[in-house]
Amino acid sequence: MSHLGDALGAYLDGEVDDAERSGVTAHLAECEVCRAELGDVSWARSAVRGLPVLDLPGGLAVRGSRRPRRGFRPVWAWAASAFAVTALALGLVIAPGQVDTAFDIGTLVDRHVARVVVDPGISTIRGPVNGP
Amino acid sequence: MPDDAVPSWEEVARVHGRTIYNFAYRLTGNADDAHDLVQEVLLRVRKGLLAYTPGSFEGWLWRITRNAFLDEMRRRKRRPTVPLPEGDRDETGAVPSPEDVLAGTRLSGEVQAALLQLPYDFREAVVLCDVVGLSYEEIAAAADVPVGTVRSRIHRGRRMLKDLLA
Repeated sequence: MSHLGDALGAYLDGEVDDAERSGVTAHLAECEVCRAELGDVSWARSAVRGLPVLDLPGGLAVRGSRRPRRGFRPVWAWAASAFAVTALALGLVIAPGQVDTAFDIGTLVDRHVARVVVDPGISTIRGPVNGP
Repeated sequence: MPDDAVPSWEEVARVHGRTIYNFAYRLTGNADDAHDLVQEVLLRVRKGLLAYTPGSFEGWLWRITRNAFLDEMRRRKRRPTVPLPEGDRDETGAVPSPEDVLAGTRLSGEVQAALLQLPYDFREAVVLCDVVGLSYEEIAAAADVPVGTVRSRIHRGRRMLKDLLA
């Protein structure tokens, strides 16, 4: 009688179809050698499955994300670039001498309107400026 | 995760980071190597996601993980750094050291040490099956071998482990 060999592991792992499972079960009922083998590999399987699950050391993902990138540019970087280009085109640029730390959106809009008035060509980007 | 979902890099790190770490730790027995491997895998995943087309995400992820692991090991060309526990394999029956009083801890150390004695292909198959929890088909895809080869490696790997731990 030939022995089951590899089929025993697959049998334990549920990696056999119904026909093979029936064959393995029938063989095991008759074969002491294969029953002993099944006991051995089942023990080893449980030993590995019983190893503790180790926690990932903290901070791993953060460190990974800070690693220098080569030839890779994330989506947000493209978005930031697109925003910068748009802002330049609309004149929404604050020169170094103009930087203040407490302007609000109203100030920003006033500056934009002032630039459009000085240079109406800018307004063609977004259409004519209507109203007073 | 559904097959048609493309996860973000952060999701991969959050959901699979610990499993990748355990995979690497059980293959190397070394926390630093495992830590570095996870970093490398996540970097490759982040790049790879740009070109990823929905399909078997598990197969894709573990193929990347396996390749990164093999590349790292080739680069370092050094052996696992966890030796067999001294005394534990004494045929006369070793007296447990104070550190090994907890039977569970002692057994874990022995199993880890025995894993490191297996030839790489067998160790990898056993770890992917019994630590990571992949199916034979997923292991075959990750290792790029037929399912029959996976089946043989898992069975023979367990047989060797039992003999080493007897």
